[in-house]
Amino acid sequence: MSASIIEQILARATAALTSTTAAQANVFRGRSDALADDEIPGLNIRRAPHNEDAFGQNASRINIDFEVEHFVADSANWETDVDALHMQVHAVLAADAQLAALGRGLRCTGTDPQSDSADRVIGKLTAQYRMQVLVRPGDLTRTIS
Amino acid sequence: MNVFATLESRVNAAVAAKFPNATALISSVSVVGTFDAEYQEILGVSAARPTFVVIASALDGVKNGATLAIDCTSLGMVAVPYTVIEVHAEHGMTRLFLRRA
Repeated sequence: MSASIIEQILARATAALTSTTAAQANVFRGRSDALADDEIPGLNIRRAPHNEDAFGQNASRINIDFEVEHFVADSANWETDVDALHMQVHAVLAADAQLAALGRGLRCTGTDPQSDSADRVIGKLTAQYRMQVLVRPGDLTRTIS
Repeated sequence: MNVFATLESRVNAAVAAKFPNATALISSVSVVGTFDAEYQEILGVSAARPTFVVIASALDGVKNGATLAIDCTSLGMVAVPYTVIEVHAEHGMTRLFLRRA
């Protein structure tokens, strides 16, 4: 069975970001395990809850939300460094034609910066992204937009 | 000195005599104490929380930002550089929280 349009979008975002930013190949999907030293800078793409609006009998609009977690370490200027990484990520996602073909209106709807200190400073910025797609209610695997 | 303070002092002296596993070189002064680096996950990243504990009088004047080098044979560490990020006084002992330099 085909993957949902949500999964297709997240898979494409992951592929587009792999080796195209300072995170290089440290791009993960829904990773729950802790990142190690050699996996930073790194990105973790997470599916977020979505909502759906009914458009009459034959169409639904899905707001697809996902998060990109950006990790940096050993940086006194972690806010500046993680912002630079986020801007690379944003540029890649915004320019990706395959991603644009899967949905409409990609935008960053917010960011959440966090840091903590132990044997080194860890900086993390979670960027929330949203795309919209139209689907038939009976088929969540294909966009009709 | 009251009874509790006396007891605390004796316990601290015993700890300082029996448990040290490391030597720190701070401002060209060698100080014996207990080094530990407990595993800690922070913000989804593997990390450690290195600390160095000694009798308070041995670390008089050490402040945040001071640099030191740790030798800890049991952990295979030789002159590993750290920066002090927090200084906690704990009943006659001082615990330094460290960051990799």
